[in-house]
Amino acid sequence: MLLVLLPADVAVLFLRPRYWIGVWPETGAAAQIVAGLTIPLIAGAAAWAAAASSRHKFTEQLAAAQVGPARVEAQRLGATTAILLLPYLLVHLIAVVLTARTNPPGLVLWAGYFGHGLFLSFFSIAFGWFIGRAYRSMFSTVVAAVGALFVSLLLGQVTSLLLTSGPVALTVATGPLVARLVLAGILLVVLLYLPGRRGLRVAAALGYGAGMLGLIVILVTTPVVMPRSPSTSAVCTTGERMKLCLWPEHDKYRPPLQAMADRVATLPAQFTPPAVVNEEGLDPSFGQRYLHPERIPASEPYSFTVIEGSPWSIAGDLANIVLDATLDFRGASGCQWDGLTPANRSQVSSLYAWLEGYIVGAVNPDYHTDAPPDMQQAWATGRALLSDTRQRQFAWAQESLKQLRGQYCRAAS
Amino acid sequence: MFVEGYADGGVPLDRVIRLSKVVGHDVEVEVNDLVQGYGGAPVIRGLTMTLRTGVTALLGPNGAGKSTLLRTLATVLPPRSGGIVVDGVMVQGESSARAVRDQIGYLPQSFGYDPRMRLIDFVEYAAWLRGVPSVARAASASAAVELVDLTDQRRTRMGKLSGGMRQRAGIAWAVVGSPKVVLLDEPTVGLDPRQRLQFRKIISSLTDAVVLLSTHLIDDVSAICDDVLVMHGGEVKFSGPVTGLAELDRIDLPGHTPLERAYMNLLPEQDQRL
Amino acid sequence: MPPPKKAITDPVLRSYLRARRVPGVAIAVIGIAALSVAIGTWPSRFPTMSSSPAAQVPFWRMLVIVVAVLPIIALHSSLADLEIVATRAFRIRQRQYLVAAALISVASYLAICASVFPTPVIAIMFRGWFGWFGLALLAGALLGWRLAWTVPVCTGIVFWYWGFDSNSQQFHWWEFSARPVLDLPSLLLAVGLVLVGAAAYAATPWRRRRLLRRRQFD
Repeated sequence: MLLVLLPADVAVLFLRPRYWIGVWPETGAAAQIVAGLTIPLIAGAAAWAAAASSRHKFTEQLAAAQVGPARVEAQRLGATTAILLLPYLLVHLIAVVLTARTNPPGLVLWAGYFGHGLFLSFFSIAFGWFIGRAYRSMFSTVVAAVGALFVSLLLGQVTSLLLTSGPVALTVATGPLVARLVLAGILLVVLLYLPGRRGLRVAAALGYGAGMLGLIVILVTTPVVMPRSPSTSAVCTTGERMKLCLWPEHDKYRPPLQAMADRVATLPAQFTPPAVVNEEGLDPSFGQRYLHPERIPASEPYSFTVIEGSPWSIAGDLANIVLDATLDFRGASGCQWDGLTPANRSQVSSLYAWLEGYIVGAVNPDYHTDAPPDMQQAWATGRALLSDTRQRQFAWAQESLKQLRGQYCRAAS
Repeated sequence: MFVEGYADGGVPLDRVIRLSKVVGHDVEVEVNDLVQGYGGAPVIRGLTMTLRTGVTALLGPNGAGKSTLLRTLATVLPPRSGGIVVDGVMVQGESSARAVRDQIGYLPQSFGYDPRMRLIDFVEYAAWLRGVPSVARAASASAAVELVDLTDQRRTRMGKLSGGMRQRAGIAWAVVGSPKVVLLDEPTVGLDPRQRLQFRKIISSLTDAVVLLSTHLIDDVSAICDDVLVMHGGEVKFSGPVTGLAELDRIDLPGHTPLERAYMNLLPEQDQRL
Repeated sequence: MPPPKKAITDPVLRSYLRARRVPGVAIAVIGIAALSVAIGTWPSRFPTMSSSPAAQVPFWRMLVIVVAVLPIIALHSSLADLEIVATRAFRIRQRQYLVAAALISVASYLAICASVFPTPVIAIMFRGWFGWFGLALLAGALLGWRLAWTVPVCTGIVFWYWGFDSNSQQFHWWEFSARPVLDLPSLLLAVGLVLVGAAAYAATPWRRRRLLRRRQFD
């Protein structure tokens, strides 16, 4: 199993975008993904190991041993756990070494994801071992493998069990994580008593069932990923027209962000970007909005997100923000956008796409979209202008703004 | 054209393999320069022997290659080199192996079973495996069950049988359908003295078969075996009649019977003292 | 060939099928089909490298693997130590069982799923089943029948995580469990895997040795 898990886990870490390098929470999230992907393999391997004593027909010898069955089981389970955790630990070691080279802040954020992956591994091992001991059949390993996979995926429908990203605005909460680890540990300990006397086996099985139930309740009722408190040491760009601020853990994005802020500063005067835009989560209201998404606030502060290290994700958000502020989409200055015609909608889309490309300093985006064809056509129209001279681009943008404001904003007219 | 059974030393095929015909009802199993192993160093090195109708004991310490030899003769493992001829059929590939398996009854040292299967179903299943015609299967199974003195347990589920009864059921599995070659790997494990005596009676009744019996029990060797093969380190140290082995007795060696001391005499010097 | 009624009452056939837990396999296949009907279309939220919604893996793509693998795991029996001296009769019966169990299980599964899934999805399931079946045969032949699930599940994890190409917004050509129904490369791959699995099944120790020694003497 090691021969499969070790290279596979390393492949998962590297055969994917490597934006996580240099950002601790994203490093932790990237490395713990393998724990989620390998749930069926770990559970199946644990079931196979659990059934080894009966498969090799030495249950009689173990039963007659002077050493108690719990201790014998502890050695077997311990050895199995150590072997199955080895690939996971190695992947984290590699990821930590790569990120530590740049010495970014936020190491404790990595630890939360590391612990979460440990919990998933313990859960898989406990599930598989229980099936391997309790279900003496040629199908026990496949039941363990597939069962663990489906239980985790079904739980993932109602709670954040399989984490795939580590946004800097969020963190793995210590309390729920510790509760999960403790319960998983209890499940593993209870397994030690399954081979005992009949009464003890029944008690252990009942204990195991109760433990699983408790774990499911905890998983469903206590989210493990929580918003962080806004940082007091945000890193910001310098600029005359718009200041952009990042979480300190995202300091590596400051140079490209500075370049974007500088390009916003060169926009015609008709564009009125907000003075300060924070990365998502830096404003105090983010936590409440994240925890209670059903409560729609009157207006949210402007913010941008860095998705998988893509500059286009930042530029897209900034383009929306600049247009929102310039054209007063929120209606604070008397603009009414309710009756937006299809032609004007296309014009706004073209403006957005042009602005996005201008801010990022490139023409072809790094993302794909399934937006409606007419919107994609409008975006293409906007992006086509990026190859033109700056003078012509600005002239077109200014004319578009003038037309739109003239039609929908009382103050302009 | 490639022909299996070529000894690694390049010995011509006609000297290595004898397609001997069965004379009368005598069955022969020929092994020619057999080399066998599981990767790495061979477990059996250049074994040559002929087994004839009758009971041959296979003696040797653990790791001598006894079980490997039995598995090879059962055609479960193809030899690394060398050849096997079973009742005139040269076993050189999958189809010839399957063909001779109808004539081979093999009982491994430990075997699994379906605990819910009734004993008679268990033996009848073996009869089917061995190609006994369906019209004769039930009778054949009943005869085998009777032979091992388990008739009153025929409808008992395998999981309910005692260890000794299960072992006898295994022997019934091996002998049902009157195979010409019977290979038994430590068949008396778990049998009490009376059952061992019954076992000897069963084996003695297999007069038309080549029986190769791997055992550690010298008493069984002297009681029922015509010939004995002593293996050590993958090589044959003695092959011949039991009386011939007894002639190798040395009074200064450990052992309570001439055969025990003779066996010790065949071991390397460092293993001859306890 | 005896008439079906006689075959079913044949105690040897019953012993063979019971040793392979065939009734349990049949019940499991129906259960999996019912599960597919209930949750098959749900996105499983299995981690994928692509964040595109099209990359999401529905549960039915996972459940097909189980249907393919179960009849092969059932090739193992508690009598394996004794059946190892596999005579011609045994190998014939084993082949018959494998073909019958595989076809009956996939036909039952697809028939039940057809009540909720459109025909193109059923066709994709069938193609996927071929590939998983081949991989399971290969795994079983190499590792033992009880571990026949390992290679399909490992492959499935690779497919689910890496199978969707963000650049082209399509599944990679090798993702035979998700490519469009008329996609030829994935169909050829799935069929090829069945052939590989069948070759692994047929590669008994005697045949492997013969092949190796032929190469030695060439």
